[in-house]
Amino acid sequence: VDSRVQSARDTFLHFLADNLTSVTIHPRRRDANDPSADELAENAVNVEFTGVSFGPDISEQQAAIDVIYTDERTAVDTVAQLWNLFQSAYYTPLLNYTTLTPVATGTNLMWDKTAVRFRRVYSGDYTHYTCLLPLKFRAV
Amino acid sequence: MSLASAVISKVNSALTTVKATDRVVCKRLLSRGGGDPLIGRVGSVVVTDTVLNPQPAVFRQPVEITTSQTSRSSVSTYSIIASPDSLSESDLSNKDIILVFKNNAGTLLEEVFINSFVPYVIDGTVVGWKITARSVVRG
Repeated sequence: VDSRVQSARDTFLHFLADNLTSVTIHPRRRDANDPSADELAENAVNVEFTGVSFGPDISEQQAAIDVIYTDERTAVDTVAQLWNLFQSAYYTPLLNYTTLTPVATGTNLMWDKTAVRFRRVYSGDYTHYTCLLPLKFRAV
Repeated sequence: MSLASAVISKVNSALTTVKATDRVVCKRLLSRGGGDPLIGRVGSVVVTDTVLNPQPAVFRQPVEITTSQTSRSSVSTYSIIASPDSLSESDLSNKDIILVFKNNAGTLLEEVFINSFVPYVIDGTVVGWKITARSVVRG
């Protein structure tokens, strides 16, 4: 059975992909069976999980969200879609995806919707916005 | 025979004669299916290995040493000179193709991901590839 931090990652990816069906969500991870999995994807929302910290009540998993498009207008629209999604709620049920049918854990995955900030990253190759979003959950 | 064809023939001959690798280099096609790819839970992975012919010249550039309980591994980047007869541009651009190194007994030694590839072109035709690759899985 997965750890809660793994469930937090899986839940967040599905929260994005299931709600933004017209947007390509590219989870960046090291995967020996998927050579391009840890590369930045263009015309997509890249999600990479960085630092994690554990507490007796609330734990935190950082999600780095990189919006990368060759067309600036599409990038801005995608940033707006993400911002709207994060404003529509401040939590989603934390699910365990050990099996293909996710199982509720009885807790939630939360974020501070007032602290969603997208920063422009200069690139001569594409339009790039980045957001570092702390995700909160109960690890035990 | 065109100039480019003649050069490719020479490249193939030189690679075969020099045999500048102590590994058996294969291209590996990864086919993933089923499961939930979004969260990295793939139902099945099928690999298809094809031995490169001619074998490329492989130059190892160690960048880090890691250890296991029984051995030491050299985490490396590789410079590889390959013939277009063994690897096509579509092979090198395919995000599901990697290179694997085996010993003569066929035991897998290392898996490497292709970082970049540069063509050597003569008369408008690719006559060789310079590939850089990074070690991902060490046996």
